[in-house]
Amino acid sequence: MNRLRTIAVVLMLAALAACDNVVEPVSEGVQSRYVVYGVLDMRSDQQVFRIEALRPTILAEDDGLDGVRVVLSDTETGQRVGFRDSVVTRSDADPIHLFVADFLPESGRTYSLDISRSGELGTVATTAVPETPVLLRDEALGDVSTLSQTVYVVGVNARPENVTVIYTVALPGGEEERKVPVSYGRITEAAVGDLVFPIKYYADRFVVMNMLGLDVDEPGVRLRRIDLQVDIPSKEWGQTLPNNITRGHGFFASVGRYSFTWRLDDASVSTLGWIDEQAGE
Amino acid sequence: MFSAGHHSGHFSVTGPILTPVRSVRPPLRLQSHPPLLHSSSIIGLLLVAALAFPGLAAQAQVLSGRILDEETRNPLPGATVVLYRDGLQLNGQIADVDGRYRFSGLNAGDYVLEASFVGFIARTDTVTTPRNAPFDILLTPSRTLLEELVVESQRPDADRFVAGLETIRPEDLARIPMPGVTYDLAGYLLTLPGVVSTGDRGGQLFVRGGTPTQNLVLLDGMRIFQPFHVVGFYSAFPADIVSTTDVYAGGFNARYGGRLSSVIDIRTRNGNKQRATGSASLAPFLSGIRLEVPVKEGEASLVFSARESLIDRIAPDLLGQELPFRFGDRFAKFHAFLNETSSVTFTALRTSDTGNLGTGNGTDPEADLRRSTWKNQAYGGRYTYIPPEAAVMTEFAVYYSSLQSRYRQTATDLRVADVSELNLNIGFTYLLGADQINFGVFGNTNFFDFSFGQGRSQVNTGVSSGGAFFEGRFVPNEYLQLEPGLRVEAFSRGLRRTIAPRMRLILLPGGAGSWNRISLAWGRYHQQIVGLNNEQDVSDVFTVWTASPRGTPIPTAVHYIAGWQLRPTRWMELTVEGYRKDLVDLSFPVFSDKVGVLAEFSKVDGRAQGVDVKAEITTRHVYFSATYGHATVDYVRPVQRSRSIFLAGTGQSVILPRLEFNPPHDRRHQVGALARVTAGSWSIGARWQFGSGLPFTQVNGYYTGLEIDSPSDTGFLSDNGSTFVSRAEPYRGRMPTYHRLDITLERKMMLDRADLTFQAGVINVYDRANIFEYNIFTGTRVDQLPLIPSVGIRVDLR
Repeated sequence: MNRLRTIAVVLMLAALAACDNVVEPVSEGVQSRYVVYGVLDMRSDQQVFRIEALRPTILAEDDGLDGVRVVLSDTETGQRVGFRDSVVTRSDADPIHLFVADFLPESGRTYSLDISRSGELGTVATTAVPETPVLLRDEALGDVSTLSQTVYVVGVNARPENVTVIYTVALPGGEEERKVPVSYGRITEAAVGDLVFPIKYYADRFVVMNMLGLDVDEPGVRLRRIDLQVDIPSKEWGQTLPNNITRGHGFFASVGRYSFTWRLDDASVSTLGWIDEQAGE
Repeated sequence: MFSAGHHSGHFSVTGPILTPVRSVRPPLRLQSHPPLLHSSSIIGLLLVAALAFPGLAAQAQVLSGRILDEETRNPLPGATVVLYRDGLQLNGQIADVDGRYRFSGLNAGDYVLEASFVGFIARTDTVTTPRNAPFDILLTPSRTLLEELVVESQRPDADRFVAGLETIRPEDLARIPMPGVTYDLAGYLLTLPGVVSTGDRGGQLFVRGGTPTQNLVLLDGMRIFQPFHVVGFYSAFPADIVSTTDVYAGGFNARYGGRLSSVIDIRTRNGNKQRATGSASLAPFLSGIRLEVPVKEGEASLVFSARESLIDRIAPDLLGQELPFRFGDRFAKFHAFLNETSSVTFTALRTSDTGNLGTGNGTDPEADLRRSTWKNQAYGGRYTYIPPEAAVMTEFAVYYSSLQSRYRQTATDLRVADVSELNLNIGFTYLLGADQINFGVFGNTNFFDFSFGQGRSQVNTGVSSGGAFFEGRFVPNEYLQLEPGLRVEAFSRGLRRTIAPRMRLILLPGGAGSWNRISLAWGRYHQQIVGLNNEQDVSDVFTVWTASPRGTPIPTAVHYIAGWQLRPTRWMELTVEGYRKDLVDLSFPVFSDKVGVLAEFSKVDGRAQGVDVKAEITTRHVYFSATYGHATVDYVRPVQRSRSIFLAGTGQSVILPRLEFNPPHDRRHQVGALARVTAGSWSIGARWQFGSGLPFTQVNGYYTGLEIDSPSDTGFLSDNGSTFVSRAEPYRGRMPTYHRLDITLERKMMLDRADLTFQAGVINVYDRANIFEYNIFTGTRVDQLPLIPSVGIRVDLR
């Protein structure tokens, strides 16, 4: 009798299995997945992220973003910033959802971006803005054709994006002050670790005088300030497959901008043919 | 003892052994020759042996000839001939595809030959050796319907049970209910446990855990890359031309190579050499004609067959719905006996298939554009030479085959896959009484040309291989048969040559004629051609053939098969086979998140294992079989960096985590039932099939993928980007179960010069909506064939 029952149960299960005729091509939980592309940028006081929801098919028309809230949080202080949806409509393509907020991130902070509807486990993306590095420097050495100074930017954990030396000078015979940036580009030798490179004053002198429209030996140019500006990206930029987005896709990272200033010694300024009006000693 | 088959381009011996009732060893013994394996080089060994054996064999007497149809002078491959002397049965053989038999190593004297074949009256002759000429045996056809004879006749290979091997004869094909009056090999294969199909559309076949590209399909030695039509229960060739088919689900001989999983070796008939004959059939699915013409009476013949589908033209009016499939094939074979010792064969096959596989249901605007097409071409030439005084047979063969495949998914997405192959083979067979030895050398060259569509560049590549094989069949006593083999092959890709040993044992616990049989098979196999399909489609029929990735090990498989067959009565047979295939270094695609882009490949290892059970009942009026197959296919992908298969990688190599999954052909349960009842000139047939759901990869969704080159790049805020796909865990989803019932009713009428067959049938009787494809791009589902009635008529000229 038991054997008959077992056979009957097996046959019933087989019949039930045979009736199953439904395909579930989309996995459960798809509604809680979003895609974010954005860079948290210390160089700007307005942050913009491009966000969309996963579509169940390529041809799906619903953008799936109704009721979605986008909030950026400082994981240490708990400070929260809400982003507003700004739809960019295009004639030849689907609209783009840009989420915008006025906010200036700070170095060394870790931020978490939460994209979700009320009550759902949404997509979370995190990024840590690089810490402010420390600047060290050697003495400036050389004559007018070789003068340079080695600087050390200590604590750089990613390849710097932009390295720029900014000379602030006053033109001869007046008080007009000009800022002349000289780009050193990406210092490719410094992948990770300390950034070490020489500031080539002898070469920068030609660039500055050219930008001012002066002959390189024109007297009377007064040097008032030297700044070094370095853009340092977060670690996600160097990863093949960043894993900082949970339950979602896209790319989310940050970039820090850091400035350092110092005083070039009198003798070196004189070597360049300039007059020293830098603040300080 | 032999039947000479023509496999994979070399002469080979495949026929069953009729073990002597009392073993009387012929004087020519393998042991009387120098040891075969002392040579340092296998190729050298083969050449030395080829030169050495004929001279030694020439001292013994040979009795040979052909077994022919008395009326048509057509060879009767598969006919049985038994040799007696002084009332003692010495030996038995199965005639080869040319109807040839040969007994060697005989002493001079009188012998009795007893020949028989299904559908013919048995005949006994007395022959005296030595003879200067072959002795041909003419059998007279019986006028009884073939089907009635089948159930009364013992199969010619009744005493031979080989693990993993199923030998299919025309009468087996005739039992399968098919729409229209055309029998077909594909329909039969789908009744075998362990054979998984994607269904009615597309024509893909998975054998015991292997993929379609791991199956070696040979038609008279020519490799057929796509052996099935777009309507998957039709082969690319008609059953009319098939003589016998050996289906090795695993554990195949050393003569076969280049594939990991299985072999389907089809041998075709030679044409009628006495008079013109033929047949014609008319049915909505497939109609065709076959003509056989003697080019030179008694010596040369030509067979021509053409089939063409009509369903796409008839379906809208007959069924009220579109069935947009058009397919057809052309086959021609010329065979001639050049003299008493040699013959030549030229064979050609061309097929074409076109199908709109995804018609959708009105929701897909691009459905009308979706179309698959493929064309097979195969050409072969074979020359066979049998010296009159030597126990050696030699064959030279050249084959060329190609497949052109196109799949248009959308208006802008045309996928292309072309493959071609050239084979050259030289084979030798030595007959040593009950024992025999085969060996040969071979060379293959493949060319590939493919693109995965969406504007992706086309890839051209190629690969070559060459080597030698050796295999033997030894019968030490009536309880045991040993079949060792060795295949050595070197590749233009990969790291080193491959050495593939193989072994089969057949145990007859009760001796010859035992109803209780055991067979074991073991072998090592290599394959450098891989099949790629796009896992982004739930059920994708488009497969790209290409070479295994450069600099990686050649994919390897080891087969283990244990089979047991029991015949408790003459009308019942029970077969149980357990198997395991260990698969190493398979290439498995890793698809990019970017839709339609084949990024890289990964190396996976796998294991396919299962058990197949088959019970058959065969009586005068009833045939019934029930099958069950349980299988699991597990793949493991170790942690690795993805690899490019292309000369210049098109994708970005990524680190792949460890992954365990069941590939798309992991069908766990398969059940089949087949019945045919005959009463007079009427017969009714039914087939029911059930298969559990196949795995597929679910998606989370689609999104716009963008690139941000640097922190200063703001272009991503306005770029259109590309479509990317987010996938769930690989192959965690399962498609619905598959099941279907087909029924046919037939009546046969015998006229003076012809047989008429009328058929009415219904496929998918209860109109099951079996899924064929779910297009995850558009969210549209395409089902396999619905309930379709059919009628047909067939005329066979005698």
